[in-house]
Amino acid sequence: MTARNLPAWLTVCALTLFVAGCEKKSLEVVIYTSVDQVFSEPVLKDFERETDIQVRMVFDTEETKSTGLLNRLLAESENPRADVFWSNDPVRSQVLVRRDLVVPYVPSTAADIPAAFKDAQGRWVGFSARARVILVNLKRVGAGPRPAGVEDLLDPRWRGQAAIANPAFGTTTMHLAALFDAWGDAKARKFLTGLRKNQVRVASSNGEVKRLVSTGEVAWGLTDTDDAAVAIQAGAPVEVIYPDTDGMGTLLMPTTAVLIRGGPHMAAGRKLLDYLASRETERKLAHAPCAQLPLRKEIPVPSHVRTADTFKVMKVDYSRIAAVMERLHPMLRDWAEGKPIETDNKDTQ
Amino acid sequence: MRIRNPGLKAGLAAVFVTGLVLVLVPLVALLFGKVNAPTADPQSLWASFSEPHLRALLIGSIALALGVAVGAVFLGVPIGLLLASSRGRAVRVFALLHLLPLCLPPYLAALGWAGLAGRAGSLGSMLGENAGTWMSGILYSKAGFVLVMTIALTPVVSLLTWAFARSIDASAIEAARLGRPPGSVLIQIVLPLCLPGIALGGLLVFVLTLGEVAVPQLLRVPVYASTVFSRLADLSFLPFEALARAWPLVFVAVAVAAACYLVERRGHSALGLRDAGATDWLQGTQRVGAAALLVVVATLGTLPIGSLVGRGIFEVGGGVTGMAGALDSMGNSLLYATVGATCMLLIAVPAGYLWSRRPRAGYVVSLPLLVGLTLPAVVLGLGLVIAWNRPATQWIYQGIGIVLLGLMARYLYPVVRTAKLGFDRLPGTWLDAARIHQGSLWRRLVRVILPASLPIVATAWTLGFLLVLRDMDTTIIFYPPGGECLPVRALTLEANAPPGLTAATAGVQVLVTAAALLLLSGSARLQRRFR
Repeated sequence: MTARNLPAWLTVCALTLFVAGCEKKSLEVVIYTSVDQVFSEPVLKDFERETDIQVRMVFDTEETKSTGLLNRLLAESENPRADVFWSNDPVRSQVLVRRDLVVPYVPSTAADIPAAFKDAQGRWVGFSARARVILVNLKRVGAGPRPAGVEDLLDPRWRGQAAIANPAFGTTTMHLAALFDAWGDAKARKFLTGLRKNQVRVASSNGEVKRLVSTGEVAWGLTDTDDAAVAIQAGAPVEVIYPDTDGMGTLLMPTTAVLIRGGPHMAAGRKLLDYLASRETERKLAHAPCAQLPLRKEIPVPSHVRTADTFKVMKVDYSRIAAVMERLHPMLRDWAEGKPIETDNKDTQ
Repeated sequence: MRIRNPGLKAGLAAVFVTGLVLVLVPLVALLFGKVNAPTADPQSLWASFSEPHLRALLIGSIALALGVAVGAVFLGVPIGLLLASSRGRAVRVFALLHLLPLCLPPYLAALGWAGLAGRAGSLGSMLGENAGTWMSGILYSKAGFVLVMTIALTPVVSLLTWAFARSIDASAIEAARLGRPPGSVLIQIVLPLCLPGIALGGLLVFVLTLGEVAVPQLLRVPVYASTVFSRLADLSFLPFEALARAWPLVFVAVAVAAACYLVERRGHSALGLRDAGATDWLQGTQRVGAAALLVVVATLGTLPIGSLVGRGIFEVGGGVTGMAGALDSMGNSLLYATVGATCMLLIAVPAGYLWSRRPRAGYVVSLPLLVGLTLPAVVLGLGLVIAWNRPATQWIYQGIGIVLLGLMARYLYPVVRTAKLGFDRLPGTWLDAARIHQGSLWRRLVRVILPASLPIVATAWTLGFLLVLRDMDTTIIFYPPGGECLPVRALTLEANAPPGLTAATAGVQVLVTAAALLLLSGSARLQRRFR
């Protein structure tokens, strides 16, 4: 090789690699999922093995580190690339439903999923849930009293010692939307203002809340059961508390799956949806490190996994929560950016 | 020297059109695509200045980015000069360690720091609870952000300083040393000769810091780029507001680029017939000081990486499982980086030459590319999705094509500009002779200009390669299903995977990039072969 033919070499090299990188055709399905890769990938690989359908996956990151798959789905909506969206909460699927970006399909395996966790018209189906829990660092809290509910975030005793994830992202948005729905705007806005006053730390994600609690940076924080389960398995000195079991109940968040309208592989997408909504997937995810809560009562779970019938579940209507969430989101975003929020609004409930 | 070549204007126009296609088409698509009917409030264009908290955030973010850029230049220049003038084994080892932070996206380095200097981090456990609390306080603060980013990005400056110092004609330095003390030669001769590279390095560090979102989120430092990101993340899809908040960042970057241009003009063009080789640019205490800096910065840069790799190796299962899953991603990473850097170089060589011949016009026509580098990745990425995800362009969108377009839109500017700076150093007499004897522009480029500028051109390719290899925030938005690269895999795994798994993935990334750095060291050999 000499300098004289260097550009030619470079061109040949680029073209060769370009051709090598071009897409291979086969029977396949494209799934976008915001369920953590470490938990969702084994399930999808199992589907691949059992059906010979190649699954091409796009995973999401923790909330604040990329724009999120929801926006990619919206950006691609004119010409969808995904066949299935498997969301780690019920409300982001609702956003797609509200924008008419999904095709109704009732999975053949979903008959025994309780009616509260699936759409009557088949536009979404829920399974394998997580709950919003309090994660406590036992070393920081010691033998003293433990927090018991979300309103303990405002307790001066915990000033500067508690954490939540950025409420403009992820399941924290949904949790706040549920609180706004349950409490009404006035009380919920006061709650948000109180969080600032009590110097509650706002972490970048629920995973970061887990990290802050596990390492003792804060005494406790609100996070999801999968984050809490991972912290416990890692040997962190932590304890999980299901909040508000004496009051409004703990928020339960099933993962949900939808079939994308205009997806390129609809038939394979339906098969994948059948697989995801099956009892077997719920069983696998209950036994996985994420320790997800099965929605079907009779699915056997390991001793460390609680089922929804063992604690008081907050009563919510997920489609209503989605609407509240879309309404609240600009305000939550402003709050997260440090803007003050009005607290004297009329109660909208 | 002004070349009267009829093809010059057409070439410059082609560079401009390339920039428009790569950068402005996605922005227009984002604004006017059918995806949404966003409410466009013209007043939001000025929100960054009219709203006090945004104004404060913008000023604060500029100050932070300037702090990181100044820190990186302060540390990177002496280290770059030391690397260019030393062939000792110890220096080579520390040089490799110093360049390692270039392997990882700053976010992963910050994670490594959190594992080290957090309250329950390794250092905290070793030094006691009080020390851990103190280090945690520093890390999760603006000072911590500046420290993490400076250590992560200093190698950009030292790499460019090294490349420019290596291409200085040794005769000039030897002549200067006959009548001047070493300090004077360093300040009045060597530094001005390296000034274009130093200015470009500082600009790159500034722009990359200004657009960073993940590290400040992790360290809980409020920055302006996060407010742009939040307009296009999760439940928000507000393209107009995002662009309204992004344009001040672009404006600031253009202003800094203009300042760099003024600095650059104070530099000299002095490529001569003699390779500088390992000429000692630094002597006496200068050398000792630079060596001390190299050891400190290399150690600090290696600590978080060592922490990550250590976890990957020692945490049971993490390493093995991570390696199995990371192989496909490693292939994707290498594919994107090799093809991306090569495609960028194919554009950068003619574009850089044209820019070098017509500097003022070059600065104007390269503006779209500077915008691409400066815009937060989320804006550019979603724009690319809307612009290229059409039935007629599926052959681009469904494969590596969209990744290449995105990466070129983001990183072509520094590659073109590095090549341009290399061509700036060619003496006019060479070009005149080449024009007489070699005929067409293409023949001149291939037979004279390219061989004479090979070290800088190789540096441009390597810079492009490294920038693509460590890219996370651009690719993640539009990578084809199943086509994730290593940094993206590390980031998506980071959510709840065992720390060892993320660490092992980061470790593979380090190894792959270390191999790339060895390629860079090979460029010096190429230089000797071709000159």
